[in-house]
Amino acid sequence: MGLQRYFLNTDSDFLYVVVHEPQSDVCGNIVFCNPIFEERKSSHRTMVETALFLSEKGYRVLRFDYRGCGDSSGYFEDFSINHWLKDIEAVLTRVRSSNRDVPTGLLGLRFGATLALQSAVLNNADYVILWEPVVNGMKYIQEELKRTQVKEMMTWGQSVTTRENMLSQIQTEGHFDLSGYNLSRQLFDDLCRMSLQEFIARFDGNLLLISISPLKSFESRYPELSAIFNEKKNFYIKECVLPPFWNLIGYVDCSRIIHETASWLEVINRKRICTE
Amino acid sequence: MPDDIENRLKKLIVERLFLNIPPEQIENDKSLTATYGIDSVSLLELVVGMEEEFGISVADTDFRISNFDTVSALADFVRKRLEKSA
Repeated sequence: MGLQRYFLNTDSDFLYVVVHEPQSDVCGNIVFCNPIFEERKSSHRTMVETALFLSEKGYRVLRFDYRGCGDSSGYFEDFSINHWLKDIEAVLTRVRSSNRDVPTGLLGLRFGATLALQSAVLNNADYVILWEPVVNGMKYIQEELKRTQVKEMMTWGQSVTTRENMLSQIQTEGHFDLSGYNLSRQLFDDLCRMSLQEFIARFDGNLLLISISPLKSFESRYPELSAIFNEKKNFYIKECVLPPFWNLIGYVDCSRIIHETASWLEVINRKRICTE
Repeated sequence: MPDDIENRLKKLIVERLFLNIPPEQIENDKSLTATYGIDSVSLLELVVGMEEEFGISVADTDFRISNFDTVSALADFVRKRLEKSA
């Protein structure tokens, strides 16, 4: 396997892109979409391990940082969902231009999964893999706020940040420090509107959703989405009982979700070859 | 059962936080952080888990260590929230 790194120009900025090239013939291209906030850091190792595993199986995997994140240019507060959708599109365009003969799909985790689905609809991706996607953007912000409140409680005995603080600061100053990330008003508004349900019904390709939860099934957590999965024959859900590795500092063995993903890719690849 | 909430909480703590001990070994009045190694990341999971399990909402003013320090404290907190919503 080869590893390439480059900077991809987009508007007046650049994206840091890492490409995992397989040694064998390429059977597909996969663009990874990272989570944001602290979840990006905690999940980094798993995303790299997944890229290595899939490239061994013959997939060209592209990992990249959105603008304002990681090693790409810009500041977090200057970008929002539309910018990051353009970033994904730029990476998809680049990989498709180098190899048009194989299917191209997206794999995303948490916020990255929801973004991957939107991009898959907008850019006609052949398939999309969603690892524990953010279903409701508003609820997601509230959970991020709770992360700040728990940290404050552990440090000072009680939390000082409230939802009212956050909303009023967003309104008056146009930004809010959310767990060390400068959340802009634009990103806040975009996240509040973000809904997986809106895009899931619009996707016509193959879709795998891996539900990663210690206790409850995806269906019981999100009954409103179950009907869509029942209707669409090319949509699949796999349940994995695992700790939320995107929230944890220590190592979590994620080989099960990596193998589930690879097996599903193999099945849809075989189906594609049979129909060609 | 008067201690049903305590037992549900212990089960939730073990399953949600992947602790390698049986739920019944968690003592009601032992500190969750000092005795069972629960950190801020785990506590966030616990908060989300409690909201799902008991159908309650943890408000901004509830984030006090006295509400989360032990199973007994958590159970008292859950009971108050359930009474409020009844």
